[in-house]
Amino acid sequence: MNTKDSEPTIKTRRELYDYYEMQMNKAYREVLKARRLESDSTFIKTYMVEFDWGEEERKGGVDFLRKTLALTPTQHRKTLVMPTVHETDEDGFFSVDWLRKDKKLRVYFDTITDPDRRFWLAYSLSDANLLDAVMDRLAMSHSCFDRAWLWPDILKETQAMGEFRGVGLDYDYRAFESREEKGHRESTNYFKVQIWGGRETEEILNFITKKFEKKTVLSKVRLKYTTDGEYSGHFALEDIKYNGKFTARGTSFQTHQILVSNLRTRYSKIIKRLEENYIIRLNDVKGEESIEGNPIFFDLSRNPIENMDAFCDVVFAGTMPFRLWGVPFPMENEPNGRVVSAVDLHSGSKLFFEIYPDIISVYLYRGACGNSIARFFTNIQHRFSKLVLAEDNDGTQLF
Amino acid sequence: MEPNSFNLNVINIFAGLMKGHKFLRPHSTKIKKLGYTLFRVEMDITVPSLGTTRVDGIGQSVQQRHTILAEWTSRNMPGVDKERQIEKYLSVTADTLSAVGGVNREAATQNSTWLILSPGSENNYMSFLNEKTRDKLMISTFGVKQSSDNGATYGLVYFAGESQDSELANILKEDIKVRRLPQGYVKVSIDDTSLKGLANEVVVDIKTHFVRGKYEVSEEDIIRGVYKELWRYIGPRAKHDIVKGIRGVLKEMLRKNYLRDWIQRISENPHVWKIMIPEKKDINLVGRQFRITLEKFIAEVYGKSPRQKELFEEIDDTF
Repeated sequence: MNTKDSEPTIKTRRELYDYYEMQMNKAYREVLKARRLESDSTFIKTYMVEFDWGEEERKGGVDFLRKTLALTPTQHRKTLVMPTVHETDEDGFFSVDWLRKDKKLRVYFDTITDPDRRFWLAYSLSDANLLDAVMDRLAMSHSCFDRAWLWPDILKETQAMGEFRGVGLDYDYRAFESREEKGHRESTNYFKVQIWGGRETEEILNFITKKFEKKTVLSKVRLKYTTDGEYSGHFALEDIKYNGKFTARGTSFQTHQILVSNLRTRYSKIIKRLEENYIIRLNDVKGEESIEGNPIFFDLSRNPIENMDAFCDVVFAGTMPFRLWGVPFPMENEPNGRVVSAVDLHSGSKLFFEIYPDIISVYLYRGACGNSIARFFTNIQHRFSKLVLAEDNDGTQLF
Repeated sequence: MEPNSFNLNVINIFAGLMKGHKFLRPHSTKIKKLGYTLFRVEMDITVPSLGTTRVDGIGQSVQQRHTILAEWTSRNMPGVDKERQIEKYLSVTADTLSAVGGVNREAATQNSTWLILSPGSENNYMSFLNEKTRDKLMISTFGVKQSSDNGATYGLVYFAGESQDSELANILKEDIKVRRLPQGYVKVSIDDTSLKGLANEVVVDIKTHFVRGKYEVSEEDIIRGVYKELWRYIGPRAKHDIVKGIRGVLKEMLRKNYLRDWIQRISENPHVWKIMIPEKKDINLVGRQFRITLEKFIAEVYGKSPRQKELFEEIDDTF
């Protein structure tokens, strides 16, 4: 079995935290003893996910969750996997099991500690690879479920809250090369590296950044996080990935929780600000009605789009990671411009894109989700170019 | 969507000017500094004793105690209906604007009309300017000024007349040249209810319902999805044409053999359409097939070539 068979019955968050703290310590001691990197299957995995559910759906509770966390059939797996959702003694805290033959995954969902009940935390000790696959599948098949998308700068800022312990860099720009560009050669326009360690790794990162500024795209950061006060002297060693996944070991689960919670608050504020300030809508401000909202701009002038058709084909194909679908139309009198009325395949909301080689404007309409913009901004750096700035109509940086 | 028709371009340039859009600087910034906001586009206003007219764009400024009513047309010659419409604009009072139209009372204190025409037609509208209207009617033209292989420069060129807000008038009298136009404030022209004018937006809207798991979609759902809040302010005649246009797109979809397996009219309620989803199938795969089918329809309507890359994505289904 892939989950810990000996996992006790957890009924409250407190019990989960205590149990996970014990597991964290155990895993950390094993790593110290073995003096080598273990598979992260024994580490705590925390996923920050976005869940868009209405009042009615919340009332549906367990039944609604079962339906929403179901793993829909795929080409190779023809059967639907309905999870077992257990209520606990605490409101908004659920234990969820997926079972397939000899494999079992257990995830605890905390749906309530975000005041808006929008950004959930999912905790697990189960196999990391299987968990990642399940989280991706949920995001792909349920429109109300999305990952959190942590762009390189927010990862860097979070890492600066603790001691530097390494980074993962990852870009893959191959998808944006057109067939003509590729010809018959094998494209090598990708790069993936992970460096773990202390101060030297930070120096290596600085060196790489200096040398390859255009392509140093942070995909993961590792930090040793400590806090003052009650948990002083304890720490959590954290890997934070750009898709909102935390892998933790160390001596204090509470410390891990503080870090996760801080990042979630920060992320949620940015997403809400995008929705409040930029959605095009009719609004009543102090008794004065007007059409509010303006587009968001992605400045690509430092690395303009060279092949507009190839760019649009990838971004608007409806596939991961952009999950946007729409048909590009050429702009009248602008041979290198395209407009796209697009659907966000996560939220089912509409966005409108004006695409020029050096700038992309995105209009959000009522019902749009700020997470779509974070997803676009994060993935455009991993898949097209790091040299992109997101700003509003007044030039204020958004991320 | 027939991108960039005259009306769509002007509605967006008007919205952008009122909202300080970066592509329209410095003019848009100056207008924003005067406190202008975009109040409405395409709104019906009833003028006592003259009847109802649809105002293409309304900008208001409490700071300037002024409201600008904009009307645009690509018609070369003004017909009787256009004359009547402009007469209604010029008869709008502060009371009509605030009590009937809902414009802020302060901003409604004074109002002016801004007529935007296609280049070359401006002299045909000169008769609108007379002793009574000269200080509250401005005429400009909008169109391509220069064109090259790299694109066009658009000009919003002042022709004649004045505004009650002289500061606004001074800005609009500047030689406004723009390289890029905002296009997303309003995506669909109310005047264009043709297949090409609506098909893309209808298809996109159907897809949003599919993504949200709503497989029965009424014509009203689609209309609200396409026009959003604008729908509330559209007059009955335009609404009638739009409903007809949307229905036309849906019927055209039904005519396509490859779409019949996907979209059907519900027999009990002909205004509701059902998206057919094969049961127990991979929803991602179904979604992809539906997207490909919709793209085929779009390609046919607009005479486009199909997407270069396949819509393929690998799903990790190890669990």
